[in-house]
Amino acid sequence: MAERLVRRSGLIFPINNPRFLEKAWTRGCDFLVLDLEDSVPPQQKAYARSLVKTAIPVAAKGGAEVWVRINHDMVEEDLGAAVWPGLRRVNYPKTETAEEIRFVDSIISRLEKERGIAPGYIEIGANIETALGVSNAHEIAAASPRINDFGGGAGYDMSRDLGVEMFVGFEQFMYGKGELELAGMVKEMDIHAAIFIPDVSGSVSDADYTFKIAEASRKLGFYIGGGLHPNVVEPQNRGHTPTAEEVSEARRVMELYKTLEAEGRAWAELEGRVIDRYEARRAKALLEFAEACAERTVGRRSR
Amino acid sequence: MPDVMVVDLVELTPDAQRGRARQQALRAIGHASVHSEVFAMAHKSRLREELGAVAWPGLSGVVLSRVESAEEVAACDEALGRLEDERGLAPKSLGVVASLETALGNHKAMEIVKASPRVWGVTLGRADLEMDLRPEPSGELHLLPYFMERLIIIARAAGVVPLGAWWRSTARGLRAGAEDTYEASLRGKALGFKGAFCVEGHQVEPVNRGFSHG
Amino acid sequence: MLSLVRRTILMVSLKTLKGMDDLWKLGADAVALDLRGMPAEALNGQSRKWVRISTGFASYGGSEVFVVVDSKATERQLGAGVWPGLSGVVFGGAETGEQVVALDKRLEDYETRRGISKGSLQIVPVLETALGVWNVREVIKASPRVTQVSLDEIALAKDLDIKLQEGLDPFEYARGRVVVEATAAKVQPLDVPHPLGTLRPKCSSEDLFRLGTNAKDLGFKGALFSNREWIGPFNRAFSPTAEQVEYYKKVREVFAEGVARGTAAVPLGKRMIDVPVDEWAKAVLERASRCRARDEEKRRAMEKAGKE
Repeated sequence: MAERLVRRSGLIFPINNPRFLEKAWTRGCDFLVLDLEDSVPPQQKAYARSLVKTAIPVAAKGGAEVWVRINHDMVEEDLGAAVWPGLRRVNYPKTETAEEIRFVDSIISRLEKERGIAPGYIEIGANIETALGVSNAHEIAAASPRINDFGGGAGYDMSRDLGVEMFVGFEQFMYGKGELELAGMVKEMDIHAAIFIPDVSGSVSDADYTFKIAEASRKLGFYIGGGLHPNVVEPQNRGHTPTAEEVSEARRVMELYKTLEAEGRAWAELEGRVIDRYEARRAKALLEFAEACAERTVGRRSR
Repeated sequence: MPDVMVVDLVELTPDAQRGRARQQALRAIGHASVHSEVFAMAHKSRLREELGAVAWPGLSGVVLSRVESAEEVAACDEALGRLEDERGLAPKSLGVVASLETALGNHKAMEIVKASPRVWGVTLGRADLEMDLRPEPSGELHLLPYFMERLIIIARAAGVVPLGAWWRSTARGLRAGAEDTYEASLRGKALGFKGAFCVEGHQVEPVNRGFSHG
Repeated sequence: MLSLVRRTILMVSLKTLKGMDDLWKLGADAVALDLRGMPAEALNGQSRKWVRISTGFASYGGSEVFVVVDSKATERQLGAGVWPGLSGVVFGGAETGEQVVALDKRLEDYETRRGISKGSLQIVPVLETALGVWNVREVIKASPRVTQVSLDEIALAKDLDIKLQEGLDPFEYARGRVVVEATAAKVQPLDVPHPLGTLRPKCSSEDLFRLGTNAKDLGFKGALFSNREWIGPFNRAFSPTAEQVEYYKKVREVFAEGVARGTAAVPLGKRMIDVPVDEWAKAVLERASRCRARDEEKRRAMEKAGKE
């Protein structure tokens, strides 16, 4: 992964709803997911498939990346309808085995070749939503170089698989989250972490709560967002973007660390904080991401 | 006085000074072994130089830093065997504590701790720094409870001793005061750790106190 | 086997058992007679007799009957315990797949010798050590007889040589591992989490219901325990509540109306009801109905026994 990917916010919506598609590119999010899966009723899926090819450029009008979420058991039909120039990524729901991913990868490879898309360009989002997927996490993460980020382990689908109600006020998914993040870290992928802040409302549109989560994630070094409701876009963009303060702080850390290195010292104290190679590494990563965010925003505005 | 003194060549030694540090190691071991067991921290990628610098009479073992595979443990085992031979140390007397600071090391933890009978202990070392685990709103370092509990299960399943303490966000390694250190040790013991490493002299007493409590 | 309803397994020590009578009126979904630590004479004599009687008595209260054996699963324990009418064996201290495979074969042998329907005896491994927790996947996948798996947190604390205290929970990882691996293998996980399962404080039945609900919210489908006061509250806690049933009935209604109108996403309060939510509602209602059926089965059995 050479360039720093900027995916602070994203919206998923049923592609068979023309109103959603028309408005989607105006929402200001970093990626848009055209859904063929859970938000499209079974009897509309064939119709939905026929819409993807022309929908891709419409969704891309605002500069967002365009992704598709296919159906777990309709790989060939859905990919055939979705893999066209302009598509960046395929999200594969309820991934449970490495074999499934290898299969999806092989179909995408064939279609890239047939349709003039650079080989390997299209990413796979291996969405793990079941206990079996968690159990096979490492094999799945290693199954295809198209997988660039990993994580999750909480949420509606996981809770259904485990047979639990959500929003009970305590952390229910520590193991799954840990296993998936570990698998992602082993492969040096970006992590989409599910931070735990107790939420008993279950509301999908609460802007304040969304911002809290995004901000907490940013402070942990995680910048990947996504959601269902347009209300979450702005708080996620804001919450996941390094602040001006953080950027200038990071620059100070880098300067101080350069001095330390020159003096042959391993660490120093700056305003009660330890500055060492770890802090320098964090600062560097933050500056790189901040720069990528700035470029992204400029890129969008210029369209 | 600490139960074990660890002569460090990895964490607190700037690269530029490593050569000199190695030269001083022998003298440090001699001094320290009067009142404590002495271990040395060695980085898995600089085994030959670092083990060579520290494997002298008075040394009880090494802390193998950043280890990520059974093969690396085997290489260390072999190197220690040769040094024991060359320097008149009792065969198989040098023990190893595996320090798992990376995601890969933790993933391979079970095979690492079983890779050699010299491995008697395992720890997360500076995993929180190496893996960049930062404070969550709850005050816990992200994923640290998961990694600690997981390591303790693996250690017990494999029959090795888990070492460490439960550090929270207010105390970050080098800056932990006595109270923070004591609390971290108490919590660590309650979780299943049997002892902890500390980086500053003033931490020894609170660690001992925390792990002796109850 | 996720349609299984076995929320409460009451462990009973044969050393202290005074009589069969009150056992069957307690309303546990299952009773597990503990053969571990019983001396040879008892296993050859009294215990054996009691197990045989108990499977008959079980029909009085509608409880299933298990026996508890340990990881050595001595021939004497199995010989004393495995009789027609038994639902299966609770396998204490299971640590490896090989142990479970070996037990599977022994049970097959007893099924043949004692006229028990082939393959009917279930195994419920109890994980008591770190090794057991680490090996949970191989333990539960070793035999199709494994339908549930239990975590013994008191034993685990002993294995790790830690002193448990309120306010610090050392077992989130272990619990999560058992829930995830069991669910992945379509086996039901059982547990009473710390501090209730470990320190066993005196609790009101409201507290017991709440703590049982916490266990359910972590993914556990029931518990293995020896406190009789826990039976009622845990039967309730590990079943959908009346409020949940009412809510999910509404969810299904509202969604069906939406589908009739041509939409697959219907708002209800703050939530959006789509296909997955409707499927979850269906699952909850099915579970509720099976739990009710089990409770009804027990009630009828006790009523019948009361008349005799």
